[in-house]
Amino acid sequence: MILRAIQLLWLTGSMVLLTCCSSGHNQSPPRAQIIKLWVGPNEAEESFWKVAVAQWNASGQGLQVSFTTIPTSGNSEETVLSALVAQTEPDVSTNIFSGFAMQLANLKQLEPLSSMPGYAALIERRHMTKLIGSWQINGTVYAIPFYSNPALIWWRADILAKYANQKIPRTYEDVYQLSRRYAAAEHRYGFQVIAGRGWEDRWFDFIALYYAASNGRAYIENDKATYNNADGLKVAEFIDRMYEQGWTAADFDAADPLVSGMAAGAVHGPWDLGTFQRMYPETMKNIVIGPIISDAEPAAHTATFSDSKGIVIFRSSKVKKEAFAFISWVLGDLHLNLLWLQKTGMMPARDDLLRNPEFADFFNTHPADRVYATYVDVASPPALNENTIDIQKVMTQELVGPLVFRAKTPQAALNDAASQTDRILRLRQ
Amino acid sequence: MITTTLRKLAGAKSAGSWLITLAMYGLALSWLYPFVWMVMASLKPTPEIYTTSLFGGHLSLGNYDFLFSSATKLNRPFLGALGISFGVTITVTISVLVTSAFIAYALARIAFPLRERFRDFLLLQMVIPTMMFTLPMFVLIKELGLINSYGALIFPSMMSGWGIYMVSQSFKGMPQDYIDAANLDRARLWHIVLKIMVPLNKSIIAIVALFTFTGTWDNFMWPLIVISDVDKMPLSVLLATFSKHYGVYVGPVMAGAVLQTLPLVLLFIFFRRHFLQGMSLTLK
Amino acid sequence: MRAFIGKISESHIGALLALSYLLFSAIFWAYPFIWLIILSFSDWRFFDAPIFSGLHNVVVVLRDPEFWGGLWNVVRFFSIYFPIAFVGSLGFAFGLEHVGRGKAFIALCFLLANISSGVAFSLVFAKLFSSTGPINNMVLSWFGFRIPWMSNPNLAMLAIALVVAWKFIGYYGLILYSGLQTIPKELYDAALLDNTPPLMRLVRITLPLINAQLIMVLVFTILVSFAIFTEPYLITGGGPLGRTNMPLMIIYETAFRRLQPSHAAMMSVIIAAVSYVLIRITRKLLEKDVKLA
Repeated sequence: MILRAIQLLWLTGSMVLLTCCSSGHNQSPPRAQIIKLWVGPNEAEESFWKVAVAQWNASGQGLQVSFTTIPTSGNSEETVLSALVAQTEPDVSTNIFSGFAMQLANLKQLEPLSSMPGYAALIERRHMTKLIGSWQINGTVYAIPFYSNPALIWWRADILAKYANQKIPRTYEDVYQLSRRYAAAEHRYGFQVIAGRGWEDRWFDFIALYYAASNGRAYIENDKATYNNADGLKVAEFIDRMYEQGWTAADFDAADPLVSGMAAGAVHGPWDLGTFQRMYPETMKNIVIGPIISDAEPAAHTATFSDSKGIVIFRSSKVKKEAFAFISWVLGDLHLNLLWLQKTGMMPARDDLLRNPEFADFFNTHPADRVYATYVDVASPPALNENTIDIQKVMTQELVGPLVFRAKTPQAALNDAASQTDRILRLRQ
Repeated sequence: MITTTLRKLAGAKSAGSWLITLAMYGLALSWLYPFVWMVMASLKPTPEIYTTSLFGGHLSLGNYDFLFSSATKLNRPFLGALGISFGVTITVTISVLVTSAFIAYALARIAFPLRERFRDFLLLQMVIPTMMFTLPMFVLIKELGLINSYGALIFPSMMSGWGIYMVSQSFKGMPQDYIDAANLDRARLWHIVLKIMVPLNKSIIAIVALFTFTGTWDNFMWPLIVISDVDKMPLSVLLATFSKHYGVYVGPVMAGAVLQTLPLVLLFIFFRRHFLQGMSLTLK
Repeated sequence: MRAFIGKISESHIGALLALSYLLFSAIFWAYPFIWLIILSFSDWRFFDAPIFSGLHNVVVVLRDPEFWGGLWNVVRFFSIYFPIAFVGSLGFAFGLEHVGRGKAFIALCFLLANISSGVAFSLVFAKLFSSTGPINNMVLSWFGFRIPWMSNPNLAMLAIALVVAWKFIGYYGLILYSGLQTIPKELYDAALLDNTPPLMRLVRITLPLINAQLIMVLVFTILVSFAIFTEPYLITGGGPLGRTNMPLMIIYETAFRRLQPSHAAMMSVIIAAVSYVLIRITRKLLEKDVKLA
């Protein structure tokens, strides 16, 4: 009885002590001699990295690399954060988007890559000078973009043929005309304006449209919302008009609208090319790809949003220089860039996709991908601010949502969204 | 004629209450609808789930097969998660039952100094909302180096003040004679608690066991916060995140939901009598 | 050895057992509690040491529109959930009274909903309420339109309230039923002799006498309104335009997506305080010590 009680106490106490002291700072033996890498949690990326890492290790150019997919069940940011908190993070990680990189940089968890030896040469070699601008935080780069997927609009060619004289819509008026005819029937809509209910869907509707209208101008600058201007107003008025006339719906959630014909056009990224080819090959035969619509002159190469993720090195790493050498090699190697393109269908983040002979064959045999490649140099990633979620939630609740439900005028919605965003950003100083 | 017989069968007291009885049965059965739908949906291929009637369509175990084999390719180890859920839940439940039984006995039948203060402390703990503790608990787990470990799921729940209180209330009501008889036989503490008190208070033990099991098995927010490694997640979190990203695979999601619910339902059915009896105790 | 142990009295054993729980509480309850205080009044972002910042977090939280949105959503949820749960459980309790045989079976059917997996059922109901789900199919065939549960902010809240009510009506109903059982028959007989109309009987006799149980149900519904997480997280994810964004979800997101655990800690303290005060006020105002003469 009393012995039992003592035993119980001792057991609890020792368990606590054991776990407390056997972990934390010195959990694993010093792993100084390999580079640990985390990669995006999907099959396509994994298959690319298998080849890349095997090649590097075989060539013996530097430290051996060992990689695993980010052990996440969906939210890789949370997994990375958890690892940082528990101090079990790797040396290098891919799949980091710019907002998250900024958060981590502000928390001093990332190594500034722009001060690494060989950085300037890498940017030159890979033709990233134009692209890297939107990844700079006060001139320093903490994450180097690995891929850049422009958002473009897919249209059903057969519907365009019947209702739009086969013209791919490029301006708002084009879409109005198409919708006037096509959406006259029940349960049919000209264009899927709103990409979804979540904050992340703003990337593929308002933000993409704004970039197109403003030619890639930032919508957040110096912790202030800058989209309450003439360009933003054009976008807001477009959204408003589409819902006012009933040319688009609030909810497309059932089957895919392009497949069912519920919408004549919808925004998609290049990753969908493979999926649709597999699941809806018939529909794919009828798809043509056009730019994000805007009122800029049709001849211009319309800017758009870029879904883009990058590579980072964590500050706690003991093999920073060696890790950077590995990263430089993977990013700069032309064959690997092509391999990436082939395996994942995503555009490597470089300006010279269409000029470089390495990729010529691929783009000649994949015309749809070719269209995407032409937009890589005008596709901008999300605004570089660590409060991405707040910013986009405000967009959803104050701007896009009320326009969808016709609760505010375009100017009022913009005013509310901008002032709310400013307030929140000021608060989070 | 028929209605009167039916009425008598239902033991109804009057015509009015016969209607009410019917209504209640109807309601009770309709309350089970989501269960039935869930099970049926888990047995149908995904495209048929919304298009066929409740019991129609091609029934098969295909979704379960998908869950256990193909899902692993998508980085979703369901079988492992099931094992983790079982391991963690059973450990916690046994730990809580044992500790609650012993400490409740002390609280109820042993006079020790500051006993009433201890009881007041338990009540105080039950009044203070537990949601506040989630974040600091995360910090504590981080300091103990237990993030992403099974310990994080087990240790904070190993004892339960609620369990102790409930069991002690039940123990209090027992006549002293049983214990005196045991003491005469110079019985040890563990003998008194485990061989006498527990068997005589089966209902409250069943309640504590059932609620602890359910609470741990279905715990969602805490494992979501503290476990980020796919190989260490319990089924609740794995299922939820699977649904968030692969929500189009409705069939396997429903199969997972059935797995998530099945142990609870089975426990409930096995212990239903104790459970009902215990409910009346807790409501006092 | 035996003699030594024999000398240790029972009260020592009792004290030791209680002590073991106190030790456990010290680690897993008191220590987090202290950390909560520290976190709430300092600036910490998971790395490095917390820096004392006084009441800054209070200011930040009180100026956060999302925080107030969450509180307002609690009010909206409660105003939909309470009437449904209250009327439903009262109906259940009265109904159960009139059932002759099979009370246990009926009670078990309802309780099964209570005891099952919230995770599983949130997923099931999300499918049931979807625009092509069985509920909408039924409504479509009867009335000719679909109910946009997930895209209308108020309907989304109603959907969640219905799911939670489904889970708890049986449990609340049993509470009320057990209260009804304690009312002595003679009171009703006396009322019948006086020709008291049924409504009067309900309001003047029944309800006051089950006051304790009614308050219990009310307190539970308040607690639920503040504490739900699983259902809104899985069914609406915060809902159209954030109109089903409940406090616990906001706390979770503030800590782990916005990387502001101190703000989240202060939020949780404020929310806990509000719910605690609300419950105390409710009890003070409505709890009557009803004694039968």
